[in-house]
Amino acid sequence: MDEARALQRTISGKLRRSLHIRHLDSGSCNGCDWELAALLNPVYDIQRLGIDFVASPRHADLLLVTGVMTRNLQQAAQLTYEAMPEPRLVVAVGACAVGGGVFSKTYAAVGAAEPVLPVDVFIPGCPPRPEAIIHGLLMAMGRIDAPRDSRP
Amino acid sequence: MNLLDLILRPLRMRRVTTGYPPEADIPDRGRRGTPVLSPARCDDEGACVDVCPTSAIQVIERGETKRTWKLDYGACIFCGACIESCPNQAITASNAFELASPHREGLVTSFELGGTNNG
Repeated sequence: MDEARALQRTISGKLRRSLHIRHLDSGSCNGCDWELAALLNPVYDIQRLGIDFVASPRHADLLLVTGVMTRNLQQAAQLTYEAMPEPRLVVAVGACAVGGGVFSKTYAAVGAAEPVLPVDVFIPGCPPRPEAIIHGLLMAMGRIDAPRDSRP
Repeated sequence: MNLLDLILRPLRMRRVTTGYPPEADIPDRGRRGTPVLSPARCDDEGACVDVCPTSAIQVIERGETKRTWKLDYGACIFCGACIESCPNQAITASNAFELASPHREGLVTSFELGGTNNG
């Protein structure tokens, strides 16, 4: 469990508390959201790593976006990001949030999460497995100190 | 099942939490898998390009002979159509899941396809 311990040290060292995630569904089909729900069950149990979901962006360190960015949610997504305290991270989960996916060409959709929000880590999959999301969160934790300019 | 069994079942249950990280995880049998190309088997027939519903697989031609096979995992919906369509079984389903990347371009894998006749 060395990697898990290293992650716990990173989280407690840099954030001085648990990594808190705000999940933003910007137009998802609910596939990714079910995988996120699975992260909290006894099988994946990300709370053992010091990661938890919170109900408000004001309490969150990381914004987790699922689904294609719809026109209706575009402003709300920006406001959610602005409500978060620094340092803040954005992770795009699933094919829709990463690259637009199958719904990106409809009139109601803007496209991927990237032009609207500065995404730090992309997690592909349709939907990604819970392990894939854990791997992406590990990667995001390693980027928390990177200056905004060096991020993609 | 009587009531005593119901009460004792949680006590008899073993730990169910996965060891990931760092233990490698074995996915469910129902999982279709991540498409991965074996360049040695590819005959450049283009069936995967035609069948891909999101145009995640593309062959980019550069000049007369140079052809690059590209798979964008960020666009892939893991439907498995390319795996089924390939006549040479050059695309196979793998258990790879550590695909996350800090850059959008990092999700694209590409291979230089050989000449048009030697595969």
